[in-house]
Amino acid sequence: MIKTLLKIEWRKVSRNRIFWMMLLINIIALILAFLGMQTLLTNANKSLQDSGVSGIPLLPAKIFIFPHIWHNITFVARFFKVFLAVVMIILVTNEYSYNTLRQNLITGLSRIQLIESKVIDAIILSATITLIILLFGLIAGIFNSSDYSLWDIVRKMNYLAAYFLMSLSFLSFAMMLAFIVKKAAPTIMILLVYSYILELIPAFKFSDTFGPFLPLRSINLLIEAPNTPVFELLNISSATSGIPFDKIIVVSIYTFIYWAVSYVVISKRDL
Amino acid sequence: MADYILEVDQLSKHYGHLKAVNQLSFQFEKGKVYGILGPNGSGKTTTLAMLSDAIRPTSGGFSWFGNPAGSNQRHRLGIMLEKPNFYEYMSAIDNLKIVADIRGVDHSLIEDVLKQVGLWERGKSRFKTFSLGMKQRLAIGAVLLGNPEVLILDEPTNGLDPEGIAEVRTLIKKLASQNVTIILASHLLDEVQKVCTQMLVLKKGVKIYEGSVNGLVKDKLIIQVKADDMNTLEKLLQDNAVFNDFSMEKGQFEIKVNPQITTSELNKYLVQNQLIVSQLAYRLESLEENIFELLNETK
Repeated sequence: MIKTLLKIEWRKVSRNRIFWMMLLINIIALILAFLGMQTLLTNANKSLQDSGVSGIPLLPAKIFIFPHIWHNITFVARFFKVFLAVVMIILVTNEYSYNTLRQNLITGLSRIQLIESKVIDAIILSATITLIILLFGLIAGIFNSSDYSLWDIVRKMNYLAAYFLMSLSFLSFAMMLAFIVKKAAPTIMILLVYSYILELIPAFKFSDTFGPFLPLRSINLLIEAPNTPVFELLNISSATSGIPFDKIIVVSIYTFIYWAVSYVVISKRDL
Repeated sequence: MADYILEVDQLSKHYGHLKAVNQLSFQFEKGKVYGILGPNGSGKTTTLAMLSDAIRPTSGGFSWFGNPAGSNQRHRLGIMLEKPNFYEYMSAIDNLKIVADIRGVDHSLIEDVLKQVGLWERGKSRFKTFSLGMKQRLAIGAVLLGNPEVLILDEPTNGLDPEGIAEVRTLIKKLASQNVTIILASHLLDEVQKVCTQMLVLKKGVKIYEGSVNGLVKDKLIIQVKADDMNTLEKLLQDNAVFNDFSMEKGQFEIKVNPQITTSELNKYLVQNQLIVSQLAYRLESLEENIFELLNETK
């Protein structure tokens, strides 16, 4: 049945021009951000040199070098996950506005299959964006690195897996909100206010206790800032030891909870 | 024992104080054509939506084909509730492909149902370019996909032109002759009368009649009478126990009498009292009037 749901979801999105437009904008924005980051760093390093600061370089000169490229670009991509969440929200709220959630139910889908369809969407969207990052990383890495082994290429690819989990969890969170709220605009508002204001306060206030385990904070802690001197100077927490295992567990549990809450909401509600 | 396809037991849906459907129980048999009749807001759609699992009952339950309540039997049903719901940016054919996939039906059947509802020529047009009548016909086409054993149709002729209405009614009759059980909700008595053999009448969420459509026609005769002196006529009618159940309709009195009473008896009585009748006719009481009476009785 999963195969049928996949087929149905594909039919829905393949004909949806707005979906493709939004996805394309997402991908272009991401690639521009990668390229822009490199230019930004090159310029910053140049002006630091010109102003006579010498000694240890504060910023890395090149970010597209194997194996660190995977950590660098997934960290940049971390700030773009909210745009993909908007696409996810539209996919869910469309079903409400066309009343096709009810229609597909009475045609024969079960309530759990309605949720499964959207989880499939979240998985496919996350996989697609991760694949784009992989392709960009391979191309940019090959052009910018010199003297690398095959092991250098794959060594830090676990950041791609972390990014996939990060994206899937965030999209699942957005999906849950959309199922609860039903309408696109308020769902997007709630998502933005929660992720950029509401959660930040307790996340930093209680950073020694439960702060790092809040839903979105734990997602972000999967991929921390690459360890560079400038982040240390600015007191930004950065990754010292790869992807924290406890966050992988916590984020996975949260993701499952988002799916379960979506199901409970849909199974209790009149459609 | 009758072969019930649907058994409904004490089904209720309450929205706060509003009892949209209240303690509704009935059984439907296989192969018959049922009409659910009632004015707007009488609970028809709410009832059908509960039977389709789209709305959760407040209490009570139902069972399809003798299966336990809560099991998914929707692949054996063809359900159309209220307005047609499809993906607006997709063509009629693509929309039906989704329906076919959900129901596990081959895509090759789509051409056939689109031809049945007269939309094959427009199959590749996007749903949002359709008129209301075309949308309605596509919805009917969708429920026919996969040869359901039971059709649930909520106001199926809504938005159709007279020709479309006639086509849909013919289609329903044709399906009924193929032993498909049909449950049709309508606020139009005429529709229920023309299509259905069995009828359930709802009022404010409560069942007020269940039985055959013909069973509701009590054999009552209506005498229509008119005179130049309507005041005297009214007084004379009031004074006579046989004729005192009357009402004023379009400038004449309509008197409800037992079928054995004839117009000549009334004429004789009036002439004896020196009243000349200017018009005298009779007709059988219509089903519509019986339903109307029924709805009024149960205030």
